[in-house]
Amino acid sequence: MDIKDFIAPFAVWKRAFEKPFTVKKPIDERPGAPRYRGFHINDADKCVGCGTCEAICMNRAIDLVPVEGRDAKEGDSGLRPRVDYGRCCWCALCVDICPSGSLNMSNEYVWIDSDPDVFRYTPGVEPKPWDGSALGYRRAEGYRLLDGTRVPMPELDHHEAVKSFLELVRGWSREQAEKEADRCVSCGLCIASCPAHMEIPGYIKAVRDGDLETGLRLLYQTNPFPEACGRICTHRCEEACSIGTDGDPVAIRWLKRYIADQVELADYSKALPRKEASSGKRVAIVGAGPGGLSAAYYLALLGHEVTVHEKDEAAGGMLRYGIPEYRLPYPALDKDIGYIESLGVKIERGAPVGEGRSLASLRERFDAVFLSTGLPAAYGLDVPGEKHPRVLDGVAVLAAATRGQVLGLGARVAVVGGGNVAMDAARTALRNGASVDILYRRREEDMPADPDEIREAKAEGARLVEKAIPLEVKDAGGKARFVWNEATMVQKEAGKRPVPEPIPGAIHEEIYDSVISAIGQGPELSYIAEADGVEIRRFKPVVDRDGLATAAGKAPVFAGGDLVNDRKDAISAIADGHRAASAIDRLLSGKGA
Amino acid sequence: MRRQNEHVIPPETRATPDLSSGKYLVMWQGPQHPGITGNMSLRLVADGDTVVDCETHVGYLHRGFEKLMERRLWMQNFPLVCRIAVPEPDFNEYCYAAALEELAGVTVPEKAVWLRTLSLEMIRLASFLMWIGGQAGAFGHGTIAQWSVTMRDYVLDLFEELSGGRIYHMYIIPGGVRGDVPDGFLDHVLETMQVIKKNLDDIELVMFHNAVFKMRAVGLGYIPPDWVDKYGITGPNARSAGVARDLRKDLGYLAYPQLDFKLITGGRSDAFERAELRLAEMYQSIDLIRQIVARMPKDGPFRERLPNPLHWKIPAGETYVAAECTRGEYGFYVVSDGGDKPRRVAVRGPSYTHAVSVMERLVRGVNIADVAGLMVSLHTYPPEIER
Amino acid sequence: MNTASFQETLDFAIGRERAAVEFYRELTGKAAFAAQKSALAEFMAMEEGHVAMLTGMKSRGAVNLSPGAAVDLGLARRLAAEEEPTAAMDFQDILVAAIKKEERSGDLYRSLVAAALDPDVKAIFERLEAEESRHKRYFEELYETQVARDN
Repeated sequence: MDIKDFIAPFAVWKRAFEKPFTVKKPIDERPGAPRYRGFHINDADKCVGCGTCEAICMNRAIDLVPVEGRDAKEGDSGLRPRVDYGRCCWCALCVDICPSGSLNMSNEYVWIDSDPDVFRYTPGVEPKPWDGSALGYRRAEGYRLLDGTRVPMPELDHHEAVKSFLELVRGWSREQAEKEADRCVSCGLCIASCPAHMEIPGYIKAVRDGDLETGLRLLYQTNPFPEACGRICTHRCEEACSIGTDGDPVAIRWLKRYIADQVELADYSKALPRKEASSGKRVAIVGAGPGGLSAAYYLALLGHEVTVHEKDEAAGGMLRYGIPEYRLPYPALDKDIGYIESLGVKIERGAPVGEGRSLASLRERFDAVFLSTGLPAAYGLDVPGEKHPRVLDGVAVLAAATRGQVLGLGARVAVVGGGNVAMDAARTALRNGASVDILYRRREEDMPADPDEIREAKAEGARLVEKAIPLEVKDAGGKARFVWNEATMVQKEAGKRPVPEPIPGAIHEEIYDSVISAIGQGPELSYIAEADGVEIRRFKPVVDRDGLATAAGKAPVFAGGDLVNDRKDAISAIADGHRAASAIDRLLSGKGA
Repeated sequence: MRRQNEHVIPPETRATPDLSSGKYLVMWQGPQHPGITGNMSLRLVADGDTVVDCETHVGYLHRGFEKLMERRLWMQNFPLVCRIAVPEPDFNEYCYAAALEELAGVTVPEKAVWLRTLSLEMIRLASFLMWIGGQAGAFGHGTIAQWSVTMRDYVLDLFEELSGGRIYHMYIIPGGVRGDVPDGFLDHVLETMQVIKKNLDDIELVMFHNAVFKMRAVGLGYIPPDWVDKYGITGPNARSAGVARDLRKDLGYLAYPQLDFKLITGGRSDAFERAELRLAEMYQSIDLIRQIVARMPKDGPFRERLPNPLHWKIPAGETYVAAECTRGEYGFYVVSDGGDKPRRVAVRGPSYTHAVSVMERLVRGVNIADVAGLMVSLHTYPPEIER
Repeated sequence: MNTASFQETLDFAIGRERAAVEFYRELTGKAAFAAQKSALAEFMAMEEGHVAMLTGMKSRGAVNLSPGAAVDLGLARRLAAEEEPTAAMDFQDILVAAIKKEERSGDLYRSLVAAALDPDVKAIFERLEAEESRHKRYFEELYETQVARDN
């Protein structure tokens, strides 16, 4: 102890003359740091209500709640996160994980209110002074809890692909599939947008867990065509996927394919439900496409005796005759159909309904009838010269390719149309060594074909001629001289899609060995007679929500698939078939509607 | 005033005073008491103004974190662990993250290693600043507490800038950290270190050259070196007893092996020297922070991508990850059964030893007025005793 | 305008619509199956509606039609078929026939507008032409959405 120990403490006095550390108006003079985790802000238009914030919140501080003026739609639950500041710990994991990036925080320090209820609020819906704030906690650049990048799918090189009908998409290994499955947040937005309402998060979880039998069982709950749909589905689910709001959507279609590919047909019966005891009822199905066979599967499972009448020599409908084998190899389709047949479904091939086997007679012999005859007839080009022998119908070309017939398309082929049939016809022609022009009346972005198909067709060497209005087909020494008028897109009416308007004088022509018309398809309905009592409006049977067309007279008639629905894809047909099967079962077993 | 060499080693066994004799006073210090450094209490039996027996009582702050963690996803526990020791949340974050990374076989990017080290040194400094206020306050020097808590707030400003949070930073996330340093941040760090160092000089002058502090702290709470292993004493409490132990050196985790610093030890092992040693470690922290700022890689990823946190499963296994916090060894024992949630998490905080076993014995024979000062000199945080 | 020419003009228009009804009736006679008949019956009913509407206007003595022409989707001028649909007609054939028929009516009224001397009669023909353009537009839209889906 020395004298310093008595004097030194008085040094604190020097601070009395210094500027104090404190500030007079702490709120005004010291705003939150730019990254400060203040109060939540949500861009309610960007948010899709997937609820991933709710899932990660360890305090259960977030609830997804309905919001006035916001309805559920595809890819949007219509719900928005409500934050309860009695529970929130401001960890901001919700911000970190938000798939769309709509959820952020302001750098607001203080919020005072005498009403405790206001601290449970829906950001972005209930206006707050900090809405739209540029500052506050955001995900750092390069930092994400979720993976926005899809596991690449091995595909044949395009130069290689175009040389053969080998399947283009090679499928995933277990490791790749599990990695992709890990990207899913199980929000379930996909379920609502799938026409068949498949249990998508469930089977993706099964992939993650390596439990493929459970996966297969979940697939077959709503879809007996997993091999086919795993390849060619229009995957509306992926459009709805919340991960797709800021990244690649989860490859739901490829995961479905992975499950079906991994389980051998011989092992299916171990995973899938057994059929119920025979009901003694008989159901006739017209058309062995996805709709008809889906109905057949679920009816057979419920114990009914099912006979499918198919006009072609093989089952599968458009899946077989409309989709080329490089997209859907026949063994994969045969596997799906094989399992359905293994349940005792009888498919009468080469047995068209019409003359000699009328709908009326089916209604006599069976307890119920399901029509799913699809759209087998191609519409014509409807320009002068459309009857030229080198003008071919796209659907027929694809069917001929399936049958292994020599197509004889020639070296230069024009495909007219922008749908999937057009793309498939073009790529089939490419694989037959032709050089191919695809002529479409509107622009590429207006094409109804799947964007992947357009991209692949172009990559394989098809030339796309946009805004080409067909005018005429002339003869050019046995070949077809195709004449078209170049168009410009004109927005004629607000809110409607622009109309291609011919540019006067901009007439082009080209000589082709074949012109394949693929502008649209129509139904074949001559087998339905007026006496059958099936109401038809604009070439579509009119059905109720179960698919019932008529219950009057003999056995009730149901209809579904492309014949009836507007989506005109396999998964919608499968959904129709399943729905009709349930309705038929209710009717036959007297359970009522 | 006690002399430095007059060490009275308190008896190992508890006294059994006859409380009905009327000679003794039973009094409770805490759980609401400024000298108790948190929510626990001491049941003191005094003979006159000398404590003859002490019983520590915990249980005022039991939140059940370890059990809660068994019901939450691996990633959901990340915002939870920082709450275990309020003034030093980052050590929890680091130990938890590092344990998960070890079990999952994840390597953290270089940049994240340095940012984690920076974060841990900054919180060490902040925690010591809070402690020194408490230590001075316990002996009646409240002015120093006002200074040091202000300095701590400056460090919290830095954390706010870096992580978005002042108290709970939630910055060290499994896989790395949640963001790179913002623009200008490193300059702010250096400026703040300058200010704090100047303040520490002032504190050194008025606190450690202070007759009152010396008279009360010198010789108070002597910890003999042989207690270190016996009681499991770690950190400055052990180093002051002359035992050269520091996990930053011994385990060489994070960027510490690349940093230039010496282990600080003492030998007198009383409250005064423990305070001196901690002051020296504060200067050392400032030095380490400056080294980190100078040597940290400028670019590069700051987080290794982990699987989707909603499904993340960690291979079955167990591990114990420890770090040197301000008070000693801080560790997380984590067991995974291969699922998406921990099977068991056990947190080892140094305060369990220091505030319960050591405190109960050291307090025997101490004047009641010195109990608070003694407890603060052990630097204990009751929240980590109970979790 | 005198009453006589008003009556005459409307009688002419009603006659056109009756001819349209007949046109569909004739096609229905060729139809072979239910789907064709139902589509033709729908369009025929539409034309019968037009007859009734014009008859009502005639008896009220006022033409109550919007003068705004519908947007021309430009299909009519390009569609090939002038030939009559056959028993195997599909929806495309029926729609093309309908579009062509509406186009012919529009063309007729357009030439009548040009030929009319009485400004009131001219105005009525203009309105009738606009009405036909709306009918044509209706069928063109059906063609776009139901037939040429992929083009």
